[in-house]
Amino acid sequence: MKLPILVPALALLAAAEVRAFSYPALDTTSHWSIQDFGFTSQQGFYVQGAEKNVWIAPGQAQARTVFYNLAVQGARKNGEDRKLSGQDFMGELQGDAYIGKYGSFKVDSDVSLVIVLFFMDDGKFEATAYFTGGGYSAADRWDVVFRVDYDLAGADNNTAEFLWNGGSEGRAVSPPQYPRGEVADGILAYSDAPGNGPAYWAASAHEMTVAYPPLPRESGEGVENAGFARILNASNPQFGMVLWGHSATPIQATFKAYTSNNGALDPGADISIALQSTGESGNYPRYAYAGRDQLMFLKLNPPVSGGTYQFGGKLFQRSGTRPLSVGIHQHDPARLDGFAFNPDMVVRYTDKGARTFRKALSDLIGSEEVTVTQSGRDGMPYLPFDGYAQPGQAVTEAQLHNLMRASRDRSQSALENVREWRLDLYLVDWTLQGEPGVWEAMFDYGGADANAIAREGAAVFWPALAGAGEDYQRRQSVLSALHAAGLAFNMDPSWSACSFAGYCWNDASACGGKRCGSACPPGSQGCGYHAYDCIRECADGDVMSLTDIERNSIRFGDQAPAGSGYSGTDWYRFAPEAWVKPGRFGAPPVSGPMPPFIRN
Amino acid sequence: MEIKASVLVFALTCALAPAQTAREYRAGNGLVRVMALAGGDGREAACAAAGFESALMDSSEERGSVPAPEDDADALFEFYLLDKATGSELRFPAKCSQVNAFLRERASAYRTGTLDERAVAVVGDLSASLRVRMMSPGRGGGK
Repeated sequence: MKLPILVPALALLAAAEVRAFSYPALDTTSHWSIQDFGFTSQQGFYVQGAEKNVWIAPGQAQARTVFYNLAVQGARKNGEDRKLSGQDFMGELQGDAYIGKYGSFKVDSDVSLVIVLFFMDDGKFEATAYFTGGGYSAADRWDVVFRVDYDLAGADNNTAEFLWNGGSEGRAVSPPQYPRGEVADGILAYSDAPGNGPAYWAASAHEMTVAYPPLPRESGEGVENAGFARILNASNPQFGMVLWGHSATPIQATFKAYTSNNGALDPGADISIALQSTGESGNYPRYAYAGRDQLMFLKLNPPVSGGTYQFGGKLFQRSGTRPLSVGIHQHDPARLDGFAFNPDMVVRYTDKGARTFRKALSDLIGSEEVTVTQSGRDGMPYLPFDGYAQPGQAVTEAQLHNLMRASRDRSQSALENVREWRLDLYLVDWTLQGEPGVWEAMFDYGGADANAIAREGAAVFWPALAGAGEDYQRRQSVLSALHAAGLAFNMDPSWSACSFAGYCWNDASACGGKRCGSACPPGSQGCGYHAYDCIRECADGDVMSLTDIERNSIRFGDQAPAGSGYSGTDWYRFAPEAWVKPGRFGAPPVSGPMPPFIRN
Repeated sequence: MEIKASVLVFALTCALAPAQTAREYRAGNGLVRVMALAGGDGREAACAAAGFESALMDSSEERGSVPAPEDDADALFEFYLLDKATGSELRFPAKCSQVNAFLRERASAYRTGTLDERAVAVVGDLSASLRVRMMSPGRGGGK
């Protein structure tokens, strides 16, 4: 997926739109509230009515339920239930930025289970458990079972999305559904081996158990942490939580419909019970779009290196949109003819006003929740050459992928940013190996995608934009960056205002020295995805179109292309996240017509 | 040579077995038991290292610069505090990073006394800072 774009100049003026929409947002300044907690022989150790405030307007907070009930009923010793039978101690505490509920409970002769629950103001929560007492022996296999009854924002109906990949049972992007034989045991095992294909979000329509190995938070060196499941309010999917594991604790997550829970300490999944409504489209991951009252059992297996049992997660509250954080990485401006990428540089005036990189993305998202960080600012260094390619030379997609992994922000706070979608764009003083005419490339897929995490980055090749003057080169780099971002959002150029024009290659005997067709002939020189006047050029293309910058609206398409039910902006805002979102839980690029989906 | 309370607490993780080990400190009517629990994650080593790092510092002002892990996977401490005069007991957990944050805010508070005296003082003050509340058997409560 690479495309160059072309040509001239023109300018129009219009008033800029301003659409600020950033509420509700998670309130990170106050503690969680817990309506009740305690211990009973029936419930075990529990917290009831765990809520977190969100801001719904400046200065106006509203409490939203997260856990209707979060409990540990007991443990399992060598596969046998050991319910909590008595209390050693129980207490609570309150730090500056967190609260804690904890207790120690008898589970066997001279064995106690200590459970510690921390709820952090920033929306994180974590559970830690460990065994004490003279009767405890690591030779026994002790599992700890949490029952998580979630009611996000008070909604009974929630949807759950689970992480697995093509190496797991079923081995397909759309997991097999009961009564197919592949899921007769109702268990899917997450596999993170690179050879097993990319990991992605998917969702099952039926109760199921998903088994996860210990997952380090930075597993796979992705742009986000190794969350293993995501739970969302079905009618308001902007509020939800990401669950993550621990580098030493294997986890088995069993998702159940509330009404089919029989009260067992460690129930199995009944795969004949519908959990939620899901949809699918060829080659795209199955997704959940309507919920049902659910709960989840997390069975924590013994940590592989000893120590404590742990799991955790973090809440997110988005506004009505999908906020975006873009990192613009570039080589030193001295290598780019003095050009420092400016997201607010006006690249054109259209009937929609002054068009900029930031404005185009804001229009796509439907709000101004676009965060742009860039080299030379925000503590982000300029890109290196050493170890990759020399200035002005060719670079491979694999090298770009390695550069991306080496240069992006992988701080703990960045990995734990579960609210924004994140994307890294690279403006480089290189050309693309084998295709020097390419202006931008979504390099992060296929064989070059060494960490098998989808569409985290794309690149713009500065030298390839040269030849039409400095001003043109600079403005074109902005359009190319937007187009590259669209590719990373799994948007296909054929969905644009201008239909697919085909590939063009050098042929001195043809129109303008170019010949075009639906595919590059073997051995053709300079073949790329182009639109040329002699073939077909539309008058007012959008970002994903093939028109030059002077005929481009610098907007993502807001009209449904022929044969599609939705526009490009609809795609970003409403299509299943697994299809659109760059990163660990996104699908690899799938080209072709826009697939139908149920908007949520 | 002055030994800081933070050294006392953090050195525990370094000296203990991976799973859990406790040490006791006594001063006056106070008895403190500190148990360190490995999280199974390599990051707890960073906390222990921070403790060692602070041990090498010779001015309490510099302790404020000791980096603490910010993630939520660091080692866990379980503290037990007994007032032998009243019989009152407190037990509470705290993560290494949380203890670090507490100590950074009180860089010069624990500069005198024996190791045991300072241990009892640190744990007592930490429990007060965290407003630790123990619940009667079978009882809980909201907040």
